[in-house]
Amino acid sequence: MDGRRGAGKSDIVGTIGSMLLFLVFTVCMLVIIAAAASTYAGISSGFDRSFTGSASLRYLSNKIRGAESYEIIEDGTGIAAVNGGITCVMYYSDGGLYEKNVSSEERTAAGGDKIFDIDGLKITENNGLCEISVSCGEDSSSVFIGGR
Amino acid sequence: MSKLRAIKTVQPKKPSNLFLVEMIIAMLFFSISGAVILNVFAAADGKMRRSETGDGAVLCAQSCAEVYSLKGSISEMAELVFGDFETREDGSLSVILDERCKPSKEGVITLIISESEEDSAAGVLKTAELVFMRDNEELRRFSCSAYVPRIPEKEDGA
Repeated sequence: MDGRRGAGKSDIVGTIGSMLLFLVFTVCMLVIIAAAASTYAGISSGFDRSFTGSASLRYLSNKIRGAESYEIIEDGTGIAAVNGGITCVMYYSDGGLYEKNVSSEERTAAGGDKIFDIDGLKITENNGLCEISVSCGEDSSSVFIGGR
Repeated sequence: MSKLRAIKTVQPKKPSNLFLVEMIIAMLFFSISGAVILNVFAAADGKMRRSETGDGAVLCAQSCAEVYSLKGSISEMAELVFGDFETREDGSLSVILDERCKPSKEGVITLIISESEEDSAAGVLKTAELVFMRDNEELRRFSCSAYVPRIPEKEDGA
């Protein structure tokens, strides 16, 4: 009788030990998955932030550099770049950078196509230098361009 | 009695450890897989940060080149682009930047701006060199130039 009880107890202890080991393994794997998901979320948001901000800044600066002349419109939230008789109007509105090409003198910030999702655009001119600032969320980037 | 002696005593079955061994092997496999996956994610995160730093450095250099070509002076360039800078013993300038190459007092990247001149009869060709450093390791190097023409002196009576 005592032998059977002893055998029963050892079975229970062995089972509990195996379960505990499995539990520890499960907890460790959940922690690893949470850390990996957090890292991936950071990578994804960092990529969106840096790509959108720098790509829109480069697009604007390259457009201005290739233009014959430019004019800041809409109190610094837009710019009209003239090249070969065509005016390219780029402006910020409703959470995005918009662009339209017009052949007339109309330089209004309306009717364009959205090209980037940004949160702010500020263009200023000082002593022959044009400063373009683009903000995406809490981050902002700026670049200087020589006058044309 | 002989019948009783013929009865063999049955030994109790020893519990099998095969399940435990199999579980340990499976856990070992999944642990190694998890470690490899974490390693991959860490490497991807490091690459993303380096890429962000390089991108910021290029934008910085772009601005510096535009301003330098107009002003022709590295101190004016640094003041306009970064605002705050320090002058080193050899005459070069140093600016502290963060990981995204933006001015920061507690940044980890040091930008060293040095200038050289090439004099000629028609003018002076100034070349500025921008070196982005992190932990005494060079990350990026850019150079930009500005040409300052020499204005000829007017002769009296001309």
